Amino acid sequence: MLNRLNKLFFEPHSIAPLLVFRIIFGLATFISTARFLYLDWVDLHFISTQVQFKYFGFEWVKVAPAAVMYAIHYLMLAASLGVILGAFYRLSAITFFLLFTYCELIDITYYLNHYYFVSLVAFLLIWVPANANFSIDVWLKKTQKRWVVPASTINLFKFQLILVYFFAGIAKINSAWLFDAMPLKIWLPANSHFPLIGFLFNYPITAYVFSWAGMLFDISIGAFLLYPKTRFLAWLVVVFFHAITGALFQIGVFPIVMISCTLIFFSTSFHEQVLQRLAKLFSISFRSEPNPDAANSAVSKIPSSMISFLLVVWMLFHVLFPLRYLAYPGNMYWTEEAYRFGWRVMLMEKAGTATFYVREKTSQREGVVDNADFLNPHQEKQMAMQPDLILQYAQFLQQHYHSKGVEVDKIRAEVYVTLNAKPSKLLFNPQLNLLEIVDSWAPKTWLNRFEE
Amino acid sequence: MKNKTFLSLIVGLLFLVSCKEKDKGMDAALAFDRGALLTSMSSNLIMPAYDSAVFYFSQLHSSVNQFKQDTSLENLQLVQQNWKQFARSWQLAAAFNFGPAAESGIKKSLSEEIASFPVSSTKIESFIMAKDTSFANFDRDSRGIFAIEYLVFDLNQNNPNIFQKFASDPWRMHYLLACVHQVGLNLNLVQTGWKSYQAAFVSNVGTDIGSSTSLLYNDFLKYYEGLKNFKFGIPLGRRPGQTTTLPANVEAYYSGYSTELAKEHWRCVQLIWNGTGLKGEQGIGFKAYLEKVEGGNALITLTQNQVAATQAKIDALPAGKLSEAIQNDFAKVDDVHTELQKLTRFFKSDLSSLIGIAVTYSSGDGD
Repeated sequence: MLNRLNKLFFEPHSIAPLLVFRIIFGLATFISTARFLYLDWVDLHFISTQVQFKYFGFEWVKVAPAAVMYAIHYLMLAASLGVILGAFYRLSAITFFLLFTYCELIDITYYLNHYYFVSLVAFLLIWVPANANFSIDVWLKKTQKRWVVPASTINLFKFQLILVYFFAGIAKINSAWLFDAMPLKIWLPANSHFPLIGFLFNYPITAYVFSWAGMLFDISIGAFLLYPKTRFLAWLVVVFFHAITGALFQIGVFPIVMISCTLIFFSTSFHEQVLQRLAKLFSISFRSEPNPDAANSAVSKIPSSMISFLLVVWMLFHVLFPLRYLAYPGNMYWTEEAYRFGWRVMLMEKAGTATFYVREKTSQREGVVDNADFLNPHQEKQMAMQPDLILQYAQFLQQHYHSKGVEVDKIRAEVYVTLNAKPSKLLFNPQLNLLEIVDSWAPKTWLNRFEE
Repeated sequence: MKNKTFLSLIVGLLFLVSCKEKDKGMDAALAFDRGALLTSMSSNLIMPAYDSAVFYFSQLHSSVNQFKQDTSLENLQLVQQNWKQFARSWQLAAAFNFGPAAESGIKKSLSEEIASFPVSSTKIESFIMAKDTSFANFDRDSRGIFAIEYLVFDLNQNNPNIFQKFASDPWRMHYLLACVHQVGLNLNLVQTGWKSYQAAFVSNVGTDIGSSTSLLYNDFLKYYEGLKNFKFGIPLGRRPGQTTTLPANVEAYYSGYSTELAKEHWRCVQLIWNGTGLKGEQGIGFKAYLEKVEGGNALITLTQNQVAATQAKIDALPAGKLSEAIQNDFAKVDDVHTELQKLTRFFKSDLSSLIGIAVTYSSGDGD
């Protein structure tokens, strides 16, 4: 066991997959950031919002002034470029990780699993010598050229990718997904205009096929990608799967990220060929020398036992953290406790209508809030079904009216939520004073139980 | 080997599932035809709504011209009558504030450009005083349908008083004509725009953001909430921080025609829900869409029940001015607001969730 782990971590491995991964990941973040700028989501998501919903423990993260927000995004473009080219690599990787993660932490309503994934990968890239070849840094002699790296620098990314798929697959093993074909029974007919196969989406059977196939795909694809004989076919399935879901659903750059990142599973010779073609394209020389530094693949002065320990801790955390939902009673889809950071994607169709009633202290007069006065449609949609955000919004409203000279002693909300086409139900007692509820990691006992 | 197991597993499961599904029927006729919804909506409701608004506008326009030629009490009465008809016909058109009616550049949406309320009498009077009919400003509460209303109606139905004001200041008439002109210009542009936009509207059968169904739905929702929030909520003093009712904030305060317009607005909400055409044609609306989707029939029942409950309260609104009813018969008006509030969730989250319509641009994880 230890031996096997030692091999997975420290066995000398060609650097080629890591180099290609660096280039591809940099390209993906470059495209993603460019798209973000092109759609002017800097404005939509950050600048023109009045309220930002916070991550637990990151309430101190604030949105920066407009010019700074734009500058950050241009800096991310530059940092992505730095990663692609392996130029000032560590600085680029750190810059990208910090800026990207900062942007994600500004407003939780924009939380996406693949943004979390990008943050994690960006963080890991800081620690690996992905610039030790085929890079500007080597060309500038800033970094020592390497042909071999410890296997962990590559396997860690594979591990991260497998987790995404595997947990997404586990999450699909529930009765709504498998036996009611929910939410695909809603989402597919909504796409019946899809070219060629769209007409199939009107048949309920298609939703079942997609549900089961999706579950099996997610659960097993990691294994098929690891196994050399099935690898290529598995990757084609990855491409097909993400292309279809990308075309059907509003999931942004997620398909591109996954299709490109999964290339890391390919063989060393594949990656060497890719690099040689790239080298030819840019007329630079890239000639593999037969393992000149094979014996000395370690890239760090940190003792390997320490590295092993850190790697195991990291991996354990990422296996266990998504499982924290097991510690909560009740229906996770309803309470959303432990829902985020668990690779739960495209799992439920959920929507809510949240009406907030604000009571003025002296007159005891109650007013109804028009959410559109404070939130954009995306924020309102997310807030209206997520208990923690509902509490945050109540706090915001109290402060807002306080600043207008209106002292508020009670805020209650009538929140009706529909989950997977079931008639909407009250999320909690509408008489509760939300100002008295403190959010925490503890189970949210103030919520109504989900009635099946 | 692994692949084969995988494949046979899938095939087996599919077989299992297909057996289970047989009783539910495998008929593609179950599917909802969004193209038919869009065709029905545009030819039975949207185009007729704009045509009707333009027609009643032209009547108002010519009566205002006549009033200018011959500033008589009878002609003023004719203007008032035509204004009411036009304001009433506008109610339905206001539900389709997208496509050619959407905001573009510095121009706001048609509703905001021509139907903002309450208007500011102070601004209107000062523009008249300054002999300024340019509208080269962003004071949308100084023009439009309700600025016309302010100019041609007197709160106490004292027509000679209005007559007097027009007679004593020619710029009042200039301002009125400018308002009429501005409304006509915007309205005609949109009506013409729809003629060329209709084909594109009908053929864009997706459900993503920007698709016709999504535009139609999102504007329907805004239109519905507008009735609740602006025509009842604010005048009733229902906003947080409001310490009193604001009866003067009702739509059509000066003509006292608010209740009629609110009732018409409410009727139009139901036309769109039912898909009934302006001329009573049986068409396809959101209700028909729900009939074809998972969980739809349950939602139809809930919605219809709440529509009926709301209708009862609307029918019970006191006759006469809404602004007065808010002061003298608060509970009855407030009841309407309450029932509208209860109806909101069915139109807002439940409907969009069941038919899978995108309401935001941002990418999602699919929840």
